[in-house]
Amino acid sequence: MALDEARALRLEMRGITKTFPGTVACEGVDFDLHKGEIHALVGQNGAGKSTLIKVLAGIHARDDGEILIDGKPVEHLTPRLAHDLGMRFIHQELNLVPQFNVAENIVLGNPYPKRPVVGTISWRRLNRQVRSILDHLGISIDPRRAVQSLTIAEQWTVAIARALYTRGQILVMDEPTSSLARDDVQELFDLVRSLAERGTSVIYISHRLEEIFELTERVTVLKDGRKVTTADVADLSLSELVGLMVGGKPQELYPTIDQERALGDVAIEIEELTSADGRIVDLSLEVRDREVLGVTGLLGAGHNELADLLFGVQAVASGRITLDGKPYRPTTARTAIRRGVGLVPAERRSQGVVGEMRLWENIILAHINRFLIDPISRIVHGRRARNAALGQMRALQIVATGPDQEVQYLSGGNQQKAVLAKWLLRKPRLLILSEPTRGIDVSAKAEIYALVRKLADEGSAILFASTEVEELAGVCDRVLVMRGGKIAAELPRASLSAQRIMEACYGE
Amino acid sequence: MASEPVARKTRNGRARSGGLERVGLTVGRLGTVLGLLLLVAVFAALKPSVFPTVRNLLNILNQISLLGICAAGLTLCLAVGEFDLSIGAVATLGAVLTAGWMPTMHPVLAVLAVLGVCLVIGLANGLIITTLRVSSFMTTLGMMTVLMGFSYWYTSGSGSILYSGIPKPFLQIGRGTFLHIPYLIFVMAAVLVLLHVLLNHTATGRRMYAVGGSPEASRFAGIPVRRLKLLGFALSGTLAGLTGVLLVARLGLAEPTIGDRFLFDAFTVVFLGAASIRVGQFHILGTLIGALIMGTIFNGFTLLDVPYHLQLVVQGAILIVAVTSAGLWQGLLQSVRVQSVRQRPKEARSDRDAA
Amino acid sequence: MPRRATEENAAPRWKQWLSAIGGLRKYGIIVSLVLLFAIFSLLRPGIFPTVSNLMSILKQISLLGILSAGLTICLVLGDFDLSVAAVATWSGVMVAALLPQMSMWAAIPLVVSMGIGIGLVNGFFSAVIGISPFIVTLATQTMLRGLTLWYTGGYSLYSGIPSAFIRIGRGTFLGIPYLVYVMLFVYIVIFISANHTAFGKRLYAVGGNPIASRYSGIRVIRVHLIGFVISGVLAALTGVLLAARLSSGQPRAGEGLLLSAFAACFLGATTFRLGRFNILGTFVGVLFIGTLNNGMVLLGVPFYLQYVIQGAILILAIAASGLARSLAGARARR
Repeated sequence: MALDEARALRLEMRGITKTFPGTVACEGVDFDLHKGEIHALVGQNGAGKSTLIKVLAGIHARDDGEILIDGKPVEHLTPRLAHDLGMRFIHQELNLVPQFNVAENIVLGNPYPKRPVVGTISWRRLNRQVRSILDHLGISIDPRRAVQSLTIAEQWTVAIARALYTRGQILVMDEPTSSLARDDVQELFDLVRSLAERGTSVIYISHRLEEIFELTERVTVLKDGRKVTTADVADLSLSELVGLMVGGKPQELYPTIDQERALGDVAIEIEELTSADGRIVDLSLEVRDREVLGVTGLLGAGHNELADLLFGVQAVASGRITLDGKPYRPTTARTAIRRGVGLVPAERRSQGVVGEMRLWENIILAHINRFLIDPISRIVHGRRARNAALGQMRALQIVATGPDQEVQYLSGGNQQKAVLAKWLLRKPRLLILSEPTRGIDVSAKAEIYALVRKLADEGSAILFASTEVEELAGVCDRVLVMRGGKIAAELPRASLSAQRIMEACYGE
Repeated sequence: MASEPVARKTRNGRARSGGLERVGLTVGRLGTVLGLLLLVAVFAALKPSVFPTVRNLLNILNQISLLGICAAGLTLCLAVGEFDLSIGAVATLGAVLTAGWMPTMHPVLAVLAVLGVCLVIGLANGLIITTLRVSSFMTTLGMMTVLMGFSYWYTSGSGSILYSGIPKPFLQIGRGTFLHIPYLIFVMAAVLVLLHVLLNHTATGRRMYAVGGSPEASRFAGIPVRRLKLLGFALSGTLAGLTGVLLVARLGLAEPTIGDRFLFDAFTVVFLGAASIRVGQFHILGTLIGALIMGTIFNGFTLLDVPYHLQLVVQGAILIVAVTSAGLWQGLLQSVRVQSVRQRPKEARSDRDAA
Repeated sequence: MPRRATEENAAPRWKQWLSAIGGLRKYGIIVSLVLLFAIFSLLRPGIFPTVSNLMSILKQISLLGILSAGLTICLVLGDFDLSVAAVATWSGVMVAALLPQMSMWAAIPLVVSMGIGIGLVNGFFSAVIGISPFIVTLATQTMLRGLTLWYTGGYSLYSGIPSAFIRIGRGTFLGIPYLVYVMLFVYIVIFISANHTAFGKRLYAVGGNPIASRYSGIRVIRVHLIGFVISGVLAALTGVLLAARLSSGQPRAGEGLLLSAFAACFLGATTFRLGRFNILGTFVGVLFIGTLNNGMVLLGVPFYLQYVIQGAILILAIAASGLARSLAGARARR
């Protein structure tokens, strides 16, 4: 419930202002944090969250404002000083050294225990020390394991262990759950809650608003570099929160779906599909035209793997797939594309776009051969390609300075729309979306949901693989829940809700 | 790039089971060592009276001693994730300066001065690269060119040989023995042991690996990335300089191309090393193995009267074979690993149900 | 969206200036080239800025230029091809060995196809098997050096070279050496390929993000293979033309080309498309190196000093581009 006023103020930021040439990133932002509090920081991209955090981390020098730690003002904050004052930052990239094992990653940057005379590292004592902190935190990973052999969730716990190895008091977590599946999220939350109970203060930055309600006590909303409000989470509803972030009245995120609409013929039929790596076993399903079929499950259940499998990026061991009435054997992405299948992959930056290339080049990337002046010289028809890109920009409302802007300078949401545009250049027979709104701000999410529905209405068959149960409930016609590589439950439109999907994931 | 020198395929982020990984790597690691043993066996069979003798072994070690020292320094630079293409030119400079200063200076002073100069060159490389955040490849390329010109200029601009006035005791270092073991081998052993301990058992060394493995993670953890990279360059420069000094001690002369072959040879040796034992990581033990392989080939071929050019061909072929087999092993390992993942989801679930 | 700066909170004037200068860093090499030109023209007014001298510069750099063009393609993909010089040397020796026995029109394609073969070997081990191209090409260049030495025994091959072949290396058309035409032709073709063809788009896509390229249906391995083949072919062509110019196959002909080719490509990467290798930039880089060398020779600069200056300029160029980048890097990016 409401904050116990007796809890000491750990951190106070008053009137923080930071400008860069040409933009004001933060203006007059206040933020405070109590001991043992879990405080969410939300806002759209460009709202100023990361700048505020970087100011706190000592990476940027603030132009104006005060920072007080435990009541004492701090003048020139540097990363070293921030560390000494007990602040610990965990970024989305985790920043673990892949070649090291767990123990060395936890101790990274801190003194190694040394042997008395020689001065070389005492590995035994190191392992012992690391094991003790892991036990203290309730993490049961062997410190000698190579970090590369851990799952993402385990790596996050290692990152947290590292942050707390040296008595951290303020923990800042940036998008910790965007790569995690449901059950891992719960474990992470349990860990964070126990830390808070023991007095660690946590600043929790996330785009997953539903988690804010589950985990945090207060939320501070930033918009356009200014603070909108700080409120107790218990006093807000999801739509109110969204409204605060976007500005204006509370909004609904998801488009309304006509329950009565008729679906088309079967576009793709899958029978007893088994993947080469064993993630998918004897799977059967079908997707119709004009249908948005959701697929979900816990980590390892197979829904994301299904997306890759149908697109030819993973290998099929056995089974039959019929696309458009004809057999479909996706051996490579090229064969998939030729049959009209498109995939918006889960990792946008590493799998979706070539950041250094221009917007129009990214958009035509899957269909370059259709923009040649002639087949012999194979020179690309620049004007035709740019016009096609402009068309997509208009249709999807991609915000950019023009088709020639390099994609890396676009916001996450616009980048994702560029990926979509790549497939919409030629009406896809089957569009597969894998975690399409991961790491994207709220208004872009809403636009993408609307786009997906519109595509379905226009006749496409869509497979929507995601771990965010709320968006599945909000966007899909039907949801399949997978477990252990097979379909465990099917939820028709009428009984679709985030609650029921989650329950199905756990096997009720 | 330098942190994954052997194979690019290990980009798969899938979960791996610890035990299987250890077994597979153990087998894959030993590829180059087995290759070395094979070479030894072949040469021993072909020249049974000459090759497998203690004297010949010492010969081999003596041959590779200078290369070993140079390559050890390079290993450290690559461990921090940077390329030093100037080591050949630095070795040449070291030799040339040594030969030039020895006659007029006290030998110890001369050696220290030369090492000092090379240290400064290494630091210069490092400062330019870390302060201006530019490519190490290109910077050290430029430095190499500058030093080449300087060496030519210093040897009277016509590439003449410097050989006069080198004191006998100094030459003894390069040619003398202690308990029948050439001094140079002791020097190499000392350098290798020291650097091995540094890289594997000191905080500084481990942090160098951290910087090479993930500069971002290191920076965020407060590790002085810049300082460690400077250390890497300083060491590779100084040891290249030491190589040059010892070249004069051994050969009694210096000329402006004397150190050139160390560039490619050292890189070959270090990369061979990264395909051995600890696959994918630059480390001293591996570098030693790489040097041993090269030395064995050179020695064996010389005994068999095989011309130098064929040695080059074999050298290149072995590098490819060694790295290929290491890479294939990692690839094989992944597919085996992936089979075992089939079991995981069920196990994970049963753990949770039991909890 | 972040709010635009207003008068009160705009960055200080001097910072804006530096930022603007930083924005000019794209053209740094061109400016330096022009400056170089001006300096040499002032120092040797009657000799340097003459048509014949300029022609001489172009002729000097033509072979380096062709080699660098192929290397650029590999570098776009992130593949360091260390074997280009060794391939050129080997090709020069091979063509000199074959010419006495067959027609020029059979020998040249044969040698060039050897270049294709070597490129495929490089590409196979690096792209298909997955070994770092640095190592693979290090190995192949070692092997090629060995083979070259073995075949020639250290001697040059100069007998039986037909005069028609030599004319390629020495002849002119309309006052411009054939070699220059070849270089210009190569650059035009490679430029168009890299920037305006389907292959070029795929090339830069794979160089920029190989995973996203794969997810877009591009055959990544194939692109790498083609890159190495192009590099190999142009290196072989360079070797053939080298032999034509030297009228012999020399086992040490390619030395120094490796350094200069990489230097030219890296210099080019500081131009036009920052930090990215590009054909036009490489061309400017080659011009720069050629002009510098020519000027220094005209000024009677001893060759060792030339080395020093070349190296120093290379370092300065990198330093300048790095400095400019950090000055202009204050912009807040998302």
